[in-house]
Parts: sequence; structure tokens; C-alpha cells
Amino acid sequence: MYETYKSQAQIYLVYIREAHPSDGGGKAFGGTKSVKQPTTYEERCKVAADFVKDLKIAIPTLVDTIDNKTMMAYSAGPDRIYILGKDGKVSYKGERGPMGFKVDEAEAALKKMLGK
Amino acid sequence: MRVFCTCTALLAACVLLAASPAAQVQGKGQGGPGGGPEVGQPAPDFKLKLLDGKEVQLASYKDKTPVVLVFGSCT
Repeated sequence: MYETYKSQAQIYLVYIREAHPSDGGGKAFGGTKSVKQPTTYEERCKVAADFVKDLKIAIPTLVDTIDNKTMMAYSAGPDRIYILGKDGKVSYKGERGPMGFKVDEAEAALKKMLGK
Repeated sequence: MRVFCTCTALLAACVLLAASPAAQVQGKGQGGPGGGPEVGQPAPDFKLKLLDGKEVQLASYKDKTPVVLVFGSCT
């Protein structure tokens, strides 16, 4: 999707607070990376950079501020997709993840918006 | 089960979005109050930095290009 549409839409990954940090006090989950909840912006940037590097993610990655201002503004945790039109208004609002995180649905909405 | 589903969702997202090797992003957590902007409403502006330090302001894209925002983390 990124490679297909990057010339027609600006696509960003917005790295937000950890959903399941290892120091979160909750149940440990297997099969995923163990990461403590960053307490500084620099720590969050480091985690995000490692993530992007390890997984060779090509999408430009923005890092939310440590006060989670953007995540809160978009009610975007733990994961969510928005598509914004040229007019600056929300064109597509996915449900919050994990169950509501639907890439196919978002891609269909983007195609429709682009008239494809 | 929820973790599996979350991993699967973000894994699929990264593969589809970036055509890159498998990603493991999962999550739940604090999404933020208010439910976020609805379709047709103005998107909240923000100014955030890319990993290379370059600053991006959402409002700079107005009247220029659509923007796709994929929120998530590695856990």
C-alpha cells in the first residue's frame, strides 16, 4: 500500500506509547519484543528507530511526544488508521486496534478517495 | 488471543503498507479521550519529528495532498 500510494498520498507511521510495555505491571505477553515504556522522548525515539530498523519499515515514521498529545487527540491507541483529505478533514477513520485495525478497509477508502 | 490478533493486525499492516518483512506490532492501551475526530471533521493539527529529526506539521499538507496516519507501537 505504501509503495503503491506514496506518490499520491503522504503516508506516515506515527509511533505512539507502548501498548504492552514490559514494565507495565500487567501480564507478560509472549512472542513480541520486550520493551519498557519510554519515559523520555529520546527513549521513545530509540525504541521507534530500533523497531523501524529491525523490521526494515520503509514508511516515514513520526514519533509522538512523550505526553502522548497526538495519540490522545486522535484517540489512536493502541493502533488506528486515519485518512485525511486535502481539505484537512477526516476522510476515513478506522476503528481502534487490534480488532478494528483493518488495512484492507483503509486501502479501499484511500482508493475511493483518489478516484481509483 | 487478543495479543495474537493484535500482532496479526499490525503484522499485516506493515507488510501491506511497507512491503517489508514481517512486523510485530500489537497493542492495547490508552487511546485517548473523546474518541478522536469523526469523518468530516477537521483533523487535529500536530507538529512531530521524523526519526531523522526533520519536523513535520500536518497543516502543511492542507490543499496539497491526502495524508494517511498509521498509529502504533512495537508492543
